[in-house]
Amino acid sequence: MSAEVSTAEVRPVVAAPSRAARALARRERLRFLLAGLRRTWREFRRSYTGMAGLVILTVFIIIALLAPWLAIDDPGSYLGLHPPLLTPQDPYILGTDGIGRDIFSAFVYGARISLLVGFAASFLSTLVGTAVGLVAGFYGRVADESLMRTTDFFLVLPWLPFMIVLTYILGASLLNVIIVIGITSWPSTARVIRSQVLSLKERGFVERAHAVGARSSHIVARHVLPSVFPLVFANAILTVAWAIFTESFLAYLGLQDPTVMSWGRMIDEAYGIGAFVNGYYWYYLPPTLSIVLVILGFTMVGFSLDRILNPRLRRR
Amino acid sequence: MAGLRRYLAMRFLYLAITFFIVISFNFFLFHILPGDPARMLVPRGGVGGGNESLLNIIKEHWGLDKPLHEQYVRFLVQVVQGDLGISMTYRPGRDVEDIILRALPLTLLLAGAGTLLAIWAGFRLGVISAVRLGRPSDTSITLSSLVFYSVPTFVLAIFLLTFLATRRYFSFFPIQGAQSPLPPEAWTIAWLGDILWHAALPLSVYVLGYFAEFSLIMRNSLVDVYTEDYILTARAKGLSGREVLRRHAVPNARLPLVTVVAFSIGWILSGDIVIQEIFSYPGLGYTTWEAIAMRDYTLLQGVFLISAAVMLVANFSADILYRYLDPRVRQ
Repeated sequence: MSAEVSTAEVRPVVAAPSRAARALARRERLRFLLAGLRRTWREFRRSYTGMAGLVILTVFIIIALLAPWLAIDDPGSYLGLHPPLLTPQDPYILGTDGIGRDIFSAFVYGARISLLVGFAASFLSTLVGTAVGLVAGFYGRVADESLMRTTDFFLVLPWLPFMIVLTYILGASLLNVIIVIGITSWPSTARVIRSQVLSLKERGFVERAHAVGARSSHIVARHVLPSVFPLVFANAILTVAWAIFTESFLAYLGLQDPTVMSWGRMIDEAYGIGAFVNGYYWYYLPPTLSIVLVILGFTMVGFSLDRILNPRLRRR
Repeated sequence: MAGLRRYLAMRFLYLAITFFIVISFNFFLFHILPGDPARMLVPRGGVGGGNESLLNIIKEHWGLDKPLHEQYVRFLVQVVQGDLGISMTYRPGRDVEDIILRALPLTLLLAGAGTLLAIWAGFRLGVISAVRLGRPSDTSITLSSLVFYSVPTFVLAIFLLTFLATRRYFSFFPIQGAQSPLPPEAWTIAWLGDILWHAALPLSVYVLGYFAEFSLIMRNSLVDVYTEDYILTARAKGLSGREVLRRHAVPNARLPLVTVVAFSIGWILSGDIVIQEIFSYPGLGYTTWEAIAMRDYTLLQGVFLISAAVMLVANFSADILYRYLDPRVRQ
């Protein structure tokens, strides 16, 4: 590594860039970013799976956003408001459940819960995973060893029992469910990012930055992070799918806030009153189908993005 | 040879260290759980409650009156001796390791066979998909893989149970349990048939729920390998498509599958909980479910430890297998 030798001599020679030069650099970076986005979008548009996933997600996001206008009841305030177990009919589009709640309202608000948990947990997990992967990959040595051993430890932890114990300790609330999913799902992101950083570190532009005297923190922030960002993004989308999946698991096991009506809990309750065996399809189909569709949507978008943005897969 | 021995020694060391961390983690995690374990055995009031001297005897017997570090050492010694404590809910005070050992064979049957079948199916489908890239068979395999990948296991289990094991639709399969209430004599053909008949539906959930991940990985990996130069070379020297696949493509493409399989052990153990709960199949997952439902912390702690041990061993084996399958790592 010639870079380490040269830093000391070169740094004083480089003059601080003028304000105009910095503005130009900022404009250039923005232009570059937009060009990259346009290129990705062009490729993404050609993928049927990706576009189908995007359409599914758009529909659910619209449902979630319009929930207060679509639902006839507020969430949590409709205990025994209507006659129980009605089949779909005029104001109740999907009928009512065992204790007289409008199923359509619960379904519509459930979309909010799933998307909220999905995005928030994925954000948390991506933040931790990316930070760990960047530091481990870029700084190497002790940082790498200790962080990777920690990652391995979290990878072998049986996640569902671990989550269950954590929800016992923290208490079952929506925020805690998000935190629990976030801190159990970061290790795979960390590993993907680390291996990418390891290969980036050997590339010319990082060495060049070293050679002109850039500090490590500057290189990480300005060169390495932007280069791994597309991969981080694709990974985050796949993590959303995982988080929604897991939330439904926890809710089904009764480990979600009792006032939060999520799809997993609707399935649990429907199963509990025998909606499946009795054939109340209007009760059990909406939550089951929509969980599958939303996870499918994120998975399809995630896989397509991964194919476009992951340099290892790009060769095809 | 010396390299291999050194490598194995290093892996063993890592395994031991990680396991030690898991045990310690297990101890402290369950220690910050709310609630006093002795208090759970001796309620404050009610029938048979309020016996403070009994409470003190229990505390002294289990060393709960000692400082934390002494309890920790005691716990380590007990775990090494294979003593996982007594269950809080099974009466009269059954040993946790006893409960776990009783549930383990059924879990091994279900999860073991289920995982192997899922890997096999995923592998075959992935290969077919990659070989017929872009054709209708590839499209249908990939699409169905994506769909099954997205179905939560408990949804799959509930649907199979409802439509294939209840009188309302078809009752081809038993609705619950691992055996008939009056099972045939053990180790006879009829007994084996009974066991398989009961395992059929949960097993299908495993296969349908987990094959997709493997088939998608296998397909991507194989498609990736097909772009390599050595595949072109193999074709150029006149090998048939089948030979290229068998001798050059598959050996390279199966490597990522090994890693994914090792990591999905965690998934499978966790999926176990809901699948066995829905089918009331008395394996380890069902035991875990009971421990959750009844807040039996000692039992949960034991299950947690066993699951972690299984995952550690799975990852360890995957590392060794990887080395065996990939000569480049051996060096």
